[in-house]
Amino acid sequence: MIMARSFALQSPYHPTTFLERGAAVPFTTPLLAGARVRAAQRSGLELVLPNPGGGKGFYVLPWTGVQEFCALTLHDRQLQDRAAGLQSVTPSGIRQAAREIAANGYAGREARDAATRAQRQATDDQLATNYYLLLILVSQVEQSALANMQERLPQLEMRAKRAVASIAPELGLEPDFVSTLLEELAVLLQGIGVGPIAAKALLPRALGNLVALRRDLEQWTTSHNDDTSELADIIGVTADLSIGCAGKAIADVRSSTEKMSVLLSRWRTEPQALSSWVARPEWLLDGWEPICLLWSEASTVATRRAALREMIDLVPILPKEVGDWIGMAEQIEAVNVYKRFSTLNRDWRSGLPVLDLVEEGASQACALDRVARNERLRALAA
Amino acid sequence: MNAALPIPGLQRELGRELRSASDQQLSRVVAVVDALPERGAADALIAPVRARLAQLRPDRPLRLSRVLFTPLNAVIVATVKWRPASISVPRSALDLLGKLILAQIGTLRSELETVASQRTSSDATAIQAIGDVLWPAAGRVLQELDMPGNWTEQTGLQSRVWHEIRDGAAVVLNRAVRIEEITHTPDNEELLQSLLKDRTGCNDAGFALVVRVLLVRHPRPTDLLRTLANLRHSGAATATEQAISATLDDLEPALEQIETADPTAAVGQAVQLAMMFDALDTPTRRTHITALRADAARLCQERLERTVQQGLLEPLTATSSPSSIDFPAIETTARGVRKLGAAAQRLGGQRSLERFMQLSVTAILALDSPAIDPVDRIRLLEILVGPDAALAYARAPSQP
Repeated sequence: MIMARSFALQSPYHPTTFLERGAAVPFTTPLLAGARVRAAQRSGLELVLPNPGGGKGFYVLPWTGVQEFCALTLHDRQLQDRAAGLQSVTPSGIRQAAREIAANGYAGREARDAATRAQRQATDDQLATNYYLLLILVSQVEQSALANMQERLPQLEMRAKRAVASIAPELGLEPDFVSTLLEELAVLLQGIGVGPIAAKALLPRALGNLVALRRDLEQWTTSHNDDTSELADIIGVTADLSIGCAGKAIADVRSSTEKMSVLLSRWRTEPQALSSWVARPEWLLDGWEPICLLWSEASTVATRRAALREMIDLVPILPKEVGDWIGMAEQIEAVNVYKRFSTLNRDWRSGLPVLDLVEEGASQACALDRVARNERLRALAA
Repeated sequence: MNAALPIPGLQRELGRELRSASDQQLSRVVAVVDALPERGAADALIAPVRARLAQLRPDRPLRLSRVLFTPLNAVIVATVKWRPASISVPRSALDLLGKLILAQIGTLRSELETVASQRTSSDATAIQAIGDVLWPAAGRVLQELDMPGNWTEQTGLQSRVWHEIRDGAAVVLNRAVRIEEITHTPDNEELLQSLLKDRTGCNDAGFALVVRVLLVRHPRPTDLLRTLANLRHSGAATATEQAISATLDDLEPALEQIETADPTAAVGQAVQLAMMFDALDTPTRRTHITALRADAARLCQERLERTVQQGLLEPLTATSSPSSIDFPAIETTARGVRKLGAAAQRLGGQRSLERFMQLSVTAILALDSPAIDPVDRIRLLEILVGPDAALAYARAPSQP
């Protein structure tokens, strides 16, 4: 069997950093559910895959060798190629690559239309973020409230120019360069959201979906007295921690706009460090979207129970690094241990044994349905 | 029986009229019958055209009585064919049982009727969501029911079969939600084992009925039989054998479904039969299974031919405008073709499968370029022949 030749099973698996854990990749091939991509130690990328048998441990294989593991859908081949060209692996980079592939139609027309809409929305979000960053800057320079900034555009433009001109010497920059920095910051912060529309940004919405999932899981745990109640509890505990960490990380990043001069200065002098810091919420929420979608797509008891069994193996492991980020190292360790031991020996992950997918005729039916389901999730994804 | 028109001649006359009605007329008649507060005699009126209705599948309002016995669908038989201890439920018992159950579930009835009133019979998710609540409640009521005084009059069944029918239906209803879950997570052996080991209120006949329901619904019948073989409780082996025999002796409706049901149901049935025959193909049953396989393979191939022609080739070649092609629907059909092909192959129809796949691929490759987006085209090929073959076709300089 190919797996034995090319892939090393690593267990137990508890990554130290998010970079080591990798970014979730929305493959549509059923066997690649829960797959993550990360930079390899020397060069290139690696795929990190939960044990297809559902047991302990993860497979790590070269990114270019994924097709030896299983037959990839055309969508996944495109995504694999696109991801290979990324300069660095981040959740937003993978999301953008996946959107581009979906926008080309490789996950079907519904996903294509959704990706096109999401791309347009991202452009609008970026413009809106730039606009509100400018308003925040004006309000700080003029020491006026943001709420009073609703006025006609030409007047607003004049005040914005004055604010930029006023802060530029403090930063030791030309005003035009300050505007450029603001545009770059808008790209960086668009997922977090600032100003009055902050709650509609990508990451706060993702956090909201996770909070809703947590609420539903709590209700499930109290109303169902069977093994799925335990699964819901386990997922809920990890969700709780992700919610707490991501909520705090989002709030921290947003609060950085309270001193725009400091934020602009930091962006100019240490862009890498600031990027990494701003990216914390997306790393913390990375991998939860498919879990939330699986749950929201299931509306009956049977399908919800099935969803819980699928969800449990997709729950993102929180790296030890989170403890340093938020000062809760012990709690992080406890949750991961809980999760690792609780999922041990569960033999169901995709519902489709490897042999069935690649060899048996009639069972292709299940694989086809699962790919179609995954494509539907792509259409629902942000 | 209350299910008769007061004037027998009139009933015959109306029956004749209905049989010669067009599909559209028939759908309108069914809509009128569905809207009646009391169906009774009207139900008898549409009885002669039930087979056509099954084929026509008009979307009908969802009624609780229809949801109630959905878990038993696979084991319901016409009353004239029903015999005691045949691991099945006679159709004529359902109406009366349904009325008795719904009368005793209290306010749940009106709550669920409100939900059902906004849905139609084709809404599988709604049926299951309502069933999640209705089936356990119905099972509890049914297992305690005493035989009504009008049992024989209403159902045409003798009083001595009351317990068998009541208990069997109650056992399945009490386990319906778990059975649904098992069909969604076929690899969850733990769940399957716990269901099969749970003999609460379940005698051997009831157990056989559960096994029969699972046999025709479990996506991996081989796994089911293996789990059954490992059960230690007494009577399990005999009940399993009875369920298998009953299933194989009553395959006519399943075979008919491949021929007449909507494409999704037909494909599902074909795949299920293929898997089931594989699981049941032991030396002692081989002759029987081989004959059934041949029947099923023939029906699959006929259905495949029709689906490729009507569901793929005709819509794709009927227009040159890309916007007028409903691609999601065509992709769904293509998945159905692939599954039907896989089922046909499993049943022994290899040659036809290759021919139809080739026909489909050729037609898709030959489509005028403005009519189909290149990505849509390669996705269709991917669904039909897999990603590697799709890429090979797409890269080939000339058409096959």
